[in-house]
Amino acid sequence: MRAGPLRVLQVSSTDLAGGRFNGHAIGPRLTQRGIQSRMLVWNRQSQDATVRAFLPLRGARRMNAWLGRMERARSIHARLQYQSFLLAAHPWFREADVVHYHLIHDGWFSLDALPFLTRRKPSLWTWHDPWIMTGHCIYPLGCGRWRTGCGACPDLTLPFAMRRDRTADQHRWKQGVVGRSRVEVILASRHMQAMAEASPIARGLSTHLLPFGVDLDFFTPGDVAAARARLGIRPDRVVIGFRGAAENMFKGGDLVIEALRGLPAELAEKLCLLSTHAHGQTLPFVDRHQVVELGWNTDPLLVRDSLLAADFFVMPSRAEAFGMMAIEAMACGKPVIVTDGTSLPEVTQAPEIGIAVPAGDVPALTAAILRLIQNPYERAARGAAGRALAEARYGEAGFADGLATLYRGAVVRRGAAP
Amino acid sequence: MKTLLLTDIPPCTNYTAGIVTAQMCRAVPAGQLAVFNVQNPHLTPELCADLAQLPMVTVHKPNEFGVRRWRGLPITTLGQTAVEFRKRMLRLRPIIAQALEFGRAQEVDNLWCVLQGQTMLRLALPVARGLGVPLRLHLWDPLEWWHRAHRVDRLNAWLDRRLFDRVMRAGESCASASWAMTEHFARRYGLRGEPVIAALDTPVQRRPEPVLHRPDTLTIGMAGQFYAEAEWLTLVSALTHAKWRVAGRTVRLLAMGGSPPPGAIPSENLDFRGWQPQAEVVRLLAEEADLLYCGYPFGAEMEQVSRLSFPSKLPTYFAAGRPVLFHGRADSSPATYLARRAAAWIVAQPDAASLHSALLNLAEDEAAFARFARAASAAFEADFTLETQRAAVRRFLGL
Repeated sequence: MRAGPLRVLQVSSTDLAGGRFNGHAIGPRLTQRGIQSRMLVWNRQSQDATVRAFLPLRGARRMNAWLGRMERARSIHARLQYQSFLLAAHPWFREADVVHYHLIHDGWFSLDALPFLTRRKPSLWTWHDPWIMTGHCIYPLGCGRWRTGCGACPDLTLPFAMRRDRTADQHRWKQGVVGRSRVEVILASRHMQAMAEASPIARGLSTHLLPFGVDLDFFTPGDVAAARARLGIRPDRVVIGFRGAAENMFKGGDLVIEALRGLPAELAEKLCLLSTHAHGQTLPFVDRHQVVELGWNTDPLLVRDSLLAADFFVMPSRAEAFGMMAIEAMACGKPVIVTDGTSLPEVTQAPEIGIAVPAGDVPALTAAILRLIQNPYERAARGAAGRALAEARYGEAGFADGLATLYRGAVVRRGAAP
Repeated sequence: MKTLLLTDIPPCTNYTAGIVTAQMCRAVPAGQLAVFNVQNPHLTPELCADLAQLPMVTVHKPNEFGVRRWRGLPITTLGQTAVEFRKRMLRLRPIIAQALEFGRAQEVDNLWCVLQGQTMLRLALPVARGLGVPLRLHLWDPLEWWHRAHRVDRLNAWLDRRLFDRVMRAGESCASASWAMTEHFARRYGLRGEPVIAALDTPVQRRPEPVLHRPDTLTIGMAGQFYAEAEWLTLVSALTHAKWRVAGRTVRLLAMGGSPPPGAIPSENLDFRGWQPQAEVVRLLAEEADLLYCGYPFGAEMEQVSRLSFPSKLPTYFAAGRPVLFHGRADSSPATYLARRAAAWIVAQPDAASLHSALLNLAEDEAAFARFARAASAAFEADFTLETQRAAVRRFLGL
């Protein structure tokens, strides 16, 4: 038996973007639990010594972009990037006791490599969204054809879009790839677990439920006035926080905009609309409210300020596999408004703590927003309950404990001694 | 010691660079300065009466734009390169000879060269070496920006960049357009530098009460060139979306400069006063504007200019004693200065909503308004008076 810590290799497309759930941020917590965590990514953004770029060769990214164009022309996805077989030759892969795959379906990794790679090392794979269970879309929204093999897709424009309907073919291919892979799957919510149970692709797979964790010392109820001052928010406003990004239809940024239009005129000059991930979306409201658009950023301090400064957080996603921002908002003591039909009512424990409205129901969303604007006591009560829920279920320490158990178990189940 | 000023704009009253040059010339004791002016023939500088005694020779500067036609015929990129190369090799020789002749006649022992554009760059070393005097370099803008703005071909731009490195290494001292530029050249070339920025005479300064002038109006002042047009249009867009009202006040733009401000501005919200003398600009900004807008380019193509240059309107704004709203990159040279002095509300995001939010804060937050107004006055007194500038000029020229 090899002495020393268990060595885990995290494999994902980026390190910093999505770092709170792709294995990057959790590294130090794993170290405390006797696990050495390193990361191979396609796009390295940090200078962290525990992160390396995979295949940092001149021309590799250009070649990959060309492969992406080929895939779009052929209406396939995550198939032609055969460079992913080379992962097995990387020294960090060879030295790893366990390999944990994260975002490997965004156009740099061929899933055809997965059976080959997972036979070589005990492997875990976090399904961050349901794409692997569908014929092409990341989220099937109301469609149930993913349960029966897809084909005759009602909406090929959903990401990842297809030119012609090859959803049945893709579904069959995924079923084959997953069936031949020796991999255990981690799911962050019961919502995703229920989808996996209903999916022919996931049939027979070993799955584990492990919600993501947040750093409860960092995302914590703090100095609201200071956060508002840093963001230039007027102190006398009720601040509505939400994720913008109109281009990402799954996140429902457009629904918030519609809902805000329905607010009564007497609230003019009493509100501040505080959004992230987009610019320009709330500009039409500057004649009524203060508007602060932080845009897309990866600065954790700014992310935290955006949550601390808000009186409540609106997250009307049309689809969500977990909902990390809702958890972070709750950890900061902020009530959240979410939508039914996603993982969010489950993770925010609606209706007791989170407020869930029917998906796509703009008047209901407006009513929920108005209710929280007008009820500071309800905001405070739900905020405190949200913090307690985050402490009980979504701590980073508990997440790291869960991961450590899964990593050690994966080695034991494979019969490979580290 | 007598200094020869080799410049592309004479000390004058009607161009920003000429106004600053005139201020700098006044820092040199009488009889110790001569001017060799290599001037764009299309410019019409109005010379300063108090500097009329300066010995000065003016010659025409060759056209610095990359030409698209030669003797009426369209030319290719190769042809453009050839034309510029011919200028480089042949057109400057007579100018160098004239400068040397004038410098020797004036018995100069110091050369102050304004390094603006490829012509001045190409003259600097031959004139300094011909006269055998120390070379003191004065820079307004990064060379790369000049090349791009004048569409200089790639080969000649590359040759100019190499020449620029040689000139900078040969320099004795350097006066540059900002603190950031001074530090940049000190790091890169080990060159002793002085930031020499537009300055104003102390009596011009105003110290209005640091409050909004009127209860129902917010007047945004803007003076000088609209070199950050995209940023200005963002301001217009923000105000248009806000229906030209901020914090319950009607917004009015008070603009001064050579041309009316761009953008669809309703006439009832615009008060354009045209070009005004500097002292009058300061008075109008102080007495009529509530806050003063300074946009600076966010675009990636202007990154170097933004990082190294400094807007000459800022000293004018500071002299007016009103809060400044700066709209530009956080790493730009003015933003760095303003953050250090806490002398402006800085909007480091290019979007319109951020600008509107800043306007709202300045209109509603009386404490912040007063703090920025006082900081503006303090910045003027510390860094932009003629006394400060003259001391910097003397250090630069080794006087």
